[in-house]
Amino acid sequence: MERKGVSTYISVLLLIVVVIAGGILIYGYTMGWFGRLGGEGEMGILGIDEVSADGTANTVTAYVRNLGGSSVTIDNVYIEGVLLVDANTTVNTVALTTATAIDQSSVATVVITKGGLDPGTTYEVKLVAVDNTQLVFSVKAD
Amino acid sequence: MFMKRRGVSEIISTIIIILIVSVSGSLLFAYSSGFFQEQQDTVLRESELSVSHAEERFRVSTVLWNGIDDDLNIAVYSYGKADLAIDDIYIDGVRVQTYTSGRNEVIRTTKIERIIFTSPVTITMGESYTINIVSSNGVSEIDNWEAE
Repeated sequence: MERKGVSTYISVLLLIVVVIAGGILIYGYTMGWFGRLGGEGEMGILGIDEVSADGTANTVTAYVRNLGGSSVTIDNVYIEGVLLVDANTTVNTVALTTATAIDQSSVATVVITKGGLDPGTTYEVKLVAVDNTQLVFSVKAD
Repeated sequence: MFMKRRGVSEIISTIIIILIVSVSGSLLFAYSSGFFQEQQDTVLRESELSVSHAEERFRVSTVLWNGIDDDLNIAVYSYGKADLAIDDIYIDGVRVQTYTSGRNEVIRTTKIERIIFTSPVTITMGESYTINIVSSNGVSEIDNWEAE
C-alpha cells in the first residue's frame, strides 16, 4: 500500500508557522525576565542650583538638582582630578560610604570636606554617579 | 559487529535550529531594545531641558521686606515663551527652607507671581544680599538686593 505524506512545501509552511508562533510565545514570556537587560535605567541629568566653598572651614557646599528621569546615586567625588575618600563627602548629611539616592526632581545638599582650600583659588569639582552620570563645576573658595 | 547509527530527522533538526535562532533573536532584541530605549529617553529629556532653558525667562520684579523679621516677599515676572514654576530660592548661597506661599505655583508667561518665604540668612537694614531663584527645570536667575 502506497503511503503519502504532506508535501515538502506544506511541511515547510507548517514549520514556519509553528516556529513563528513559538517565537512570539517565547518572546512574550522572556520579556518579563530580560526586558531590562539593557541597563538599570536611563542615565540621570544633574544640575547645580548653587555652590560655595569655604576656605576657612575647608568645605565645598553644592545644591545638586536631579533634572533627569530617574534617581541618581553619587559614587565618587574629584577635586582638581583627585579622587576623595567617600567619608569626606555627605549627601543630605549622609556620608558617601552609604549610598544615598537623589530622587527625580529633588535637590540634594552635597558637602565636600577637603583640607587645604586656599581662599581666592578656583577649584574644579566633579561628581560621578553610579550610572556614570557626571556633573562638573567650578567654585572659588571664599 | 555492525551497528546501525541513526540521527535526528531533518524536520526535528530544522525545528531545533530555528528554535535556537528564535530564542537568541528574542534575547538580543530584548537586550538592545531596552538599551536603546534608555538612550532615547535620556536624549529626549535633555532636549526638553534645552528647550525649557531657552524658553523660560524670568526676573525678580520687586523684593518686599517689612524691616522687622526675616520674611521676604518676592515678585517674579515671567517674560519667556513657557510657563514656569519656582522650585527653590537661595539667599547668599543658603537654601530657603520655609515657604509661606508661591512655591511651585505655575507662573504664566507675562504674569507676575509672589513668593513669600523666610530668609535663612538674617536680614539687616542696608546690607546687600544675593538672591538666586531656581525654576523646576533648573533655570536660575540671580538678583542683588539691598535691604531697605
